[in-house]
Amino acid sequence: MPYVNKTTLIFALLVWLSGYSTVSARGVYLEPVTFINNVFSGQPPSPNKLTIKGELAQDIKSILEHRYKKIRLSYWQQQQRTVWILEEIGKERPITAGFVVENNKIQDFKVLVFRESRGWEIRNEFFTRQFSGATLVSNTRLDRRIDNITGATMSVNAMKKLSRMALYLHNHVTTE
Amino acid sequence: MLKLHEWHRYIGIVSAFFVIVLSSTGLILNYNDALQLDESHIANQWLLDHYSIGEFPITSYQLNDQLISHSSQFVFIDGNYILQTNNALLGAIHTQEFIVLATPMSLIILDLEGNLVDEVSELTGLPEAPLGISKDPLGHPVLRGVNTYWKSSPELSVWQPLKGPHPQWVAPIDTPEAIAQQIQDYVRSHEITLERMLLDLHSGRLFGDFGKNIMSLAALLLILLAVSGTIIWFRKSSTR
Repeated sequence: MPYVNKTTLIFALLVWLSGYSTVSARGVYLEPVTFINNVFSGQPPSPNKLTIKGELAQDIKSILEHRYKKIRLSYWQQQQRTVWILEEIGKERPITAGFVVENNKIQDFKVLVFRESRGWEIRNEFFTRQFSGATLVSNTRLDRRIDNITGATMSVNAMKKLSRMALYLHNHVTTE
Repeated sequence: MLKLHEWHRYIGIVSAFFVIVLSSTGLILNYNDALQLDESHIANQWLLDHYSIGEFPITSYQLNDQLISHSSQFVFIDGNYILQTNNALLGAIHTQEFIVLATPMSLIILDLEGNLVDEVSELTGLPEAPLGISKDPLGHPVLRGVNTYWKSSPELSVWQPLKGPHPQWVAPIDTPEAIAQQIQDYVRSHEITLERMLLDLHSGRLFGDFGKNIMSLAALLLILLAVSGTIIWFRKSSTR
């Protein structure tokens, strides 16, 4: 009997505390326009358009495991540096992320807008810096292991997919 | 005067109902991801009314033979859901290749089947934030800016100032009743997730402040139950 009561006490405390677990950190962490201006020191080039079709669409689909939500993408290019603002759903709402790719390596990656109810820890530098210098091997795989964040697995997976997509798109537009 | 074990018994009986509610909702919520509770929505009219989910305003624009509508965060073609946008709809036009929706932040470009082609904002090539949209006599999109009207190339990638008289800006129409009802049903039944309802039941908030206070009281009773049970157990074990 006492064991049951202790368990009940712990359970009661846990459920009491669980009422506060819905506090989220959704929001715009960095306006996409600010991200672009920061990358190009306030003088961004005009955006280019890339239509996702044919083999490119198939490869993007194999990276994301579904069709990308848009048929046409905007990106910014200055010599061997490209910048991509991409969206992917973690659990139920799209996460907007910005990638700077130079010489086929991720130079910078930031979570710009987070709309999910959990998993916002991916915005922190301790997570994003894992992607610094990442490149593709075997065409669509990252050259490194990205550590997961407990409770944010789907957001982490979404960012891993987007990083592969950004690298793949960079390779596509710079070798055209 | 009641003895401690009698208090313990009565608290246990009173708490039993709450233990069942808290345990069952807690258990279900623990498997939220697997059960996809945050992707399932409540469609029950009584519950929606209980949450005070009322009627949503609908804005509709008539294209050639299609009706584009926006309500809450959803866009519909002929009453069928197409995509989500949090921005209001300022107008919609139909070009040879695209359906173009104007919002205060961007132009949303759909192909004729309703698939999202692109969303063009000032960041990605729009000359300025839209105030309205229309077509010139050749069928090219025309954007209404603050001081300038802009004419676009058919693929909506190059914009230049429009000279001469501007066209009639697209205006909303009344949504036909049958489509309005279809949209209302969709929007209302996509407001409250099953996860939200279970969390509200778990915390008592489903029944307002009264429910929250009852659940707070239940939690206190559970603490008392555990404390009194522990004391009784120690007393019994020391007398053995």
